[in-house]
This record gives sequence, structure tokens and C-alpha cells, in this order.
Amino acid sequence: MEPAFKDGDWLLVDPADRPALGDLAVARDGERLVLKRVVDIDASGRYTLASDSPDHAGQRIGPLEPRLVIGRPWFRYGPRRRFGPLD
Amino acid sequence: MNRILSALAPSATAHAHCDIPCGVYDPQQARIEAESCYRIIEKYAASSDELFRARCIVVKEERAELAKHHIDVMWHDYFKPEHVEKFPTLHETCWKAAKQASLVKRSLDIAEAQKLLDLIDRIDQMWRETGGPAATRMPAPASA
Repeated sequence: MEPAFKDGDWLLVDPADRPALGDLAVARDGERLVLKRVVDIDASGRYTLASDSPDHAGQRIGPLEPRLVIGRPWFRYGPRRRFGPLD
Repeated sequence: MNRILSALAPSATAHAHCDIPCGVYDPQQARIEAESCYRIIEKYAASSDELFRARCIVVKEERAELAKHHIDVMWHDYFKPEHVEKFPTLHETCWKAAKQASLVKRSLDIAEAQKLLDLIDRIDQMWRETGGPAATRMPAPASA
């Protein structure tokens, strides 16, 4: 998800804020959490996520059950030079 | 200051960058390492050479750790939610196999090495029945 996100970024994620199509999302993929963008929500409400990087455009995660989507990251509070709301 | 930073630090880590998923997955990688452990335990039991036996233990630990790694790769990177729907015991099987690899690492009981092979064979069955060979392996040239 570079250059928008870099290793070490500290993000606030709102679990009450359900990501919409095109939003960033933090989700559980197997045993780990991933930060990707929502590229599809099917009729059952399941999410498909993908990277913003064109080099990895074909790599998708999902469809994920809604319960596996933790929430939408909305603010970066670290590092200081990148402090601020997320798009 | 450190305590403040610790309190502010995130409670979990999310991965934003893609692996380079080559897409090649095969439980045989784990099985080969597990077979090695089995054979090493056999050779250990058959030998009275203390130096050889010491080397057996070292190499067995290395191979058992590799078996565990390959099991983890299958579990975390190959298997998908739809596979869990088809095989409800998938997570339990992978977890038990990883635990068994850890046990074989520290054990010289050949029965435990056989249990590891059996668990990997169950993972192999699930991989095959979810289309693993066609989806994740390149065909090898036919032998003459």
C-alpha cells in the first residue's frame, strides 16, 4: 500500500465504521490483519480487498465475511510527520 | 516517556504490503522434512556412536522446524475460507500438525514422527480435494 502507507504507521481504526466500496479497510486474513482497499462488496455483504499498488492489482483477498472486516482506518497518529486524517 | 509511548502504541499490527505470493503450494515440502525426521530417529536408535547421535538430534530439530514452516505456509497462505467450509476440521488439523512438528523437534519417539506424517497426509488430502495440484503446481515434463 505504499506510498500511502509505510511500515511503522500508527492508525486509528473505527470498528463501528463499516468500509464502503473504495474505502480502506482493516480485515482478518487467516491469522493476520491486513490493510487493503475495498474493491467489491457482493450481494451477501462479503468484502473483496486489494492493494492500491498496480504491481499487485491482481492479488485479491476475499470474499471475506463481514465479521472479518475489523473497520475503517480513519486517522494516522504516527509518525508525527505523517499525522492526520486518512482519505 | 517510554511508558507514554508504550500506552499510545497500537495494540495490533496490520500488514499493508503484499507478499510475493508465487502461488506454489504443496504439502510434500512438509512431508519430505517429516520423513527426514522419521528416518533420523530410526538411525539414531540404530547407532551407538555418540557423535553421530548428537548430529542426528541437531539435524532433526532443523528438519522439524522446516516441516512446521511448510505447514504454516499451507495453513496461512494456501487455504481459503471456502476450503474451511468444505473441510470444517481444516484449522484444527493444521494447528495439530504444527504442534506435532514442535513435538517431533524435541522427541526421539518414532511414533510421534509417524503422527506428524499422518497429519501432513490429511493436509495433503485437503489440498488435493481443493484443486491444489492444478492450481498451485507447474506440470512436470512427462518422463520418457
